[in-house]
Amino acid sequence: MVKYIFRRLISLIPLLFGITIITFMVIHLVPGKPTDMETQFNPKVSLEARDRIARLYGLDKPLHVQYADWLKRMASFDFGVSFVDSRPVIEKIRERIPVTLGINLASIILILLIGVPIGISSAVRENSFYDRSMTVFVFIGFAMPTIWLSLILMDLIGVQWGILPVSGIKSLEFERFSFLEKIIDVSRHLVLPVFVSAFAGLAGISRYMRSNMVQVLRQNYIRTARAKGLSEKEVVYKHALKNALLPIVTILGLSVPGLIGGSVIFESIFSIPGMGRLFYESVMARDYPVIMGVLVIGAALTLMGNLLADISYAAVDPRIKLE
Amino acid sequence: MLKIEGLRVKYGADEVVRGVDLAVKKGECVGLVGESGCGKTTVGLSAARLIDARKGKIVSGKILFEGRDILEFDAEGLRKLRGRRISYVFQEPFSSLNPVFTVHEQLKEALREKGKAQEAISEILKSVGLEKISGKKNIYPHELSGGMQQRVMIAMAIASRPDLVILDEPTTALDVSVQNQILELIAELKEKMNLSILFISHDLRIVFSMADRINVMYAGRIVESGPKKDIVSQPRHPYTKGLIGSIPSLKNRKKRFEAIEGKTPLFSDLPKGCKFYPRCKFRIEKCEDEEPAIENISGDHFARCVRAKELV
Amino acid sequence: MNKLILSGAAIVIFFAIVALFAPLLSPYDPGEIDIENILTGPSPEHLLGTDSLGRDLFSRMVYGTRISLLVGLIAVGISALIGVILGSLAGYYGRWVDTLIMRFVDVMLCFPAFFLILAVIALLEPSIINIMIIIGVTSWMGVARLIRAEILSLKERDFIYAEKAIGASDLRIISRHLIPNAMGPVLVSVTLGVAAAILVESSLSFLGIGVQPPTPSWGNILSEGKSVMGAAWWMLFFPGLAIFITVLGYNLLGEGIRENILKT
Repeated sequence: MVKYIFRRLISLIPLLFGITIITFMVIHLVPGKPTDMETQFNPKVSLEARDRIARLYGLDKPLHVQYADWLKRMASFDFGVSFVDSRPVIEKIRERIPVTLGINLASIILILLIGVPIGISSAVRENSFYDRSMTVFVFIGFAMPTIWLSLILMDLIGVQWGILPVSGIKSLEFERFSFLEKIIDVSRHLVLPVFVSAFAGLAGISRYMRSNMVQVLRQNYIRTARAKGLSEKEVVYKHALKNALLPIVTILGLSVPGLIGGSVIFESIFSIPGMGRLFYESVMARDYPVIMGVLVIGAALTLMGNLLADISYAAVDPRIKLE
Repeated sequence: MLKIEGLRVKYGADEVVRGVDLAVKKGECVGLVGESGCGKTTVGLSAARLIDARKGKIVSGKILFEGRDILEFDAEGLRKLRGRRISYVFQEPFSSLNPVFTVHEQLKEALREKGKAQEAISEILKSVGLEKISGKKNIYPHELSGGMQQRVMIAMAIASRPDLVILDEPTTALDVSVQNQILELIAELKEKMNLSILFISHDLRIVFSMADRINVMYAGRIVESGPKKDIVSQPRHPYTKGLIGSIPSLKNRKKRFEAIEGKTPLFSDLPKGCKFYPRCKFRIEKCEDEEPAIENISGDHFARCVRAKELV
Repeated sequence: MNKLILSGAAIVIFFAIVALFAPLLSPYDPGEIDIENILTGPSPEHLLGTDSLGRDLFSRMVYGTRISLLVGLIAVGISALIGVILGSLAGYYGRWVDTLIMRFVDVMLCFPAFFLILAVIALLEPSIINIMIIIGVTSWMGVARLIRAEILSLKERDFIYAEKAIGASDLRIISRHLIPNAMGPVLVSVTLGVAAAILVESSLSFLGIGVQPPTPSWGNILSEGKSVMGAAWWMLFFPGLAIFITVLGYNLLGEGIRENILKT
């Protein structure tokens, strides 16, 4: 196991290099230099700032030297300082990460809690009316634009009916609340964002779970379980479920980039102070150091998600353990 | 013990078992032999009501187990029947064992009494020749060889001391060297536990070595049935003759090995008369129009051929 | 043919016709401002109502169809082109070419696609052409993997050996034999890709970094809709519905092809 984790970690090194190279290429190969952009689009940026950027990226040096320098700073998480408020980029990102991860984690849990049972029950009742309705639901889920769903829910539940708050993660009078009230307040703010971010993933997971389960239920060992005189419940929820559930771990790992990328949309719509919104604001303000920082951190989070998924898969599937 | 009467099974539009009668008496080993695709596995699966409902359906007939028709059993009745009274050993041990549960766990499920499971499991594993892993709790199926996996399957099948064991090609997926060991194990367990066995195989030689009675199946029907000695010495159906002729070493070493010519017919496109007619060396005009009924030859020996009495 | 393909194709063809005949179908000029009729609801004069400048929503939606489909199709065209070229190079030549390209794919897949798109847009002008290119350049990885896998399995077939034996060039073998034979799964992936590209474009336009007003696109109409939320439901409802149905159409078509023609 330790050996396996070690081997997986080693295999991440070329990917990390690749990530930094692509990020670096985005800065340098796309026509238009960050320094130009700054002065053109953001009048707030002074000449002094332009010099600072030039120095930060070492734009006067040859490309490979620039890359090496940049990589060195990257290794110590030095992404420079923001153009907007001159705070260190890493600090800005660090305070935004928990909100984004929290919402994504909550939505993953929601996806699993709803999607897995839907997939299983559809598979068990393959081709029944229920199964077909669920397939329709899955198609709707896949096609539903996050923005539209968010806006409609916001309009109906927030604006028209006033049931839930639609902006930010806490109320104005948050500081005066008791601990319990604070929890309730944050939860109320998060209901819509979590629901929206879970919606599309829900369709994917239930569909995946269904096809997995359908396949597993056709396996010979399921027949063996029946032949042993196990009840249908034991056959489905013990023998079939464990086999169908294992690959879900991998899919969760693969869905990390989509979830993080999607956070830009729902965080902007619901004004949630997370990494996605920070990224969006930085793009609008052409705040270069922050954009690059979030890009690298976002990719690193994806890598970590995949790594975690691989390790958990190895931990739960007996067939991998011994390799 | 087990008596199948007029069993008909359909997979979609194809009727793959077209009226099969078969009986297994207490302590007897009955062989069911035929080429792959003749419906013999379906007969076996029907006997424990294990046909996948999405694919196939028992259309008519009776499956009497100790006098009661199991086609009328509800889910709970079937559950109590399976494993405890009738158990099953499948062809491919690797895919028939659940890859994510330990051997220990899977054996435990097959036990009738759950108390003292640990001891009972060691005992059973020893009895199928798996002393090596009898003390180990954390062995997964993929860690075992094919032969050992099949021993586990057999252990699971006998764990609850069933009355009838259905063995469906138990050695086909195994290496030749392992095949004999497994067959010996089965014979030994049969003696020790006084098991009744339905032994399904495409390999007549193996069936000869195991069975007391033999049923030969072709295109969804029994074409010849009788005590082993009658079938070996006096096969009456041309198909049985062909099967015996295709065994190289059994009857006469010098005689050339002959395979039966032609292919098994598709169930969607069966000949009108005798189903074996297109491949038969002894066919006469009559065979083309009418499928013959099964006829008594002598004593307990039956054959489904118009020329059964003259073809000695 | 079956229900999936038929219903998907019906939707796809419907919107294609709308896009093609936009000038004939729209009763007003999509840019025509009418201060007398600001934010009026759906009525016989303005079927889907008007926006905050009094422009006819129906006409803007019809022209928006053009933009959304154009962006979706061209972006996917670009991504398919890159994917097919890189995928077939990797599959055909193997060895270090394969390693290099597939590693590149792995790295690209590490980036949340939407982040990468936004980052590049921050550097470029958000013009329609740029949006198409950016979406294409960040979404080719799936096609590359598919083509590579198909070519790996085709490469060992007899007809390829036969071609080699008569001295056909690599380019000819790849373009005449391997790619056409590997096209099936790519067709599915491309059809589903159009749906994804339309979603991305509308999200970008909604966020104000995609198609720029006054050019109408479903996404930037939604964005206007957000600013008048509570006052004009039609500004939220119709553009979103159009995106939803179009995406649904391409998804149905793609899944239909997968299930019924490729039988996987």
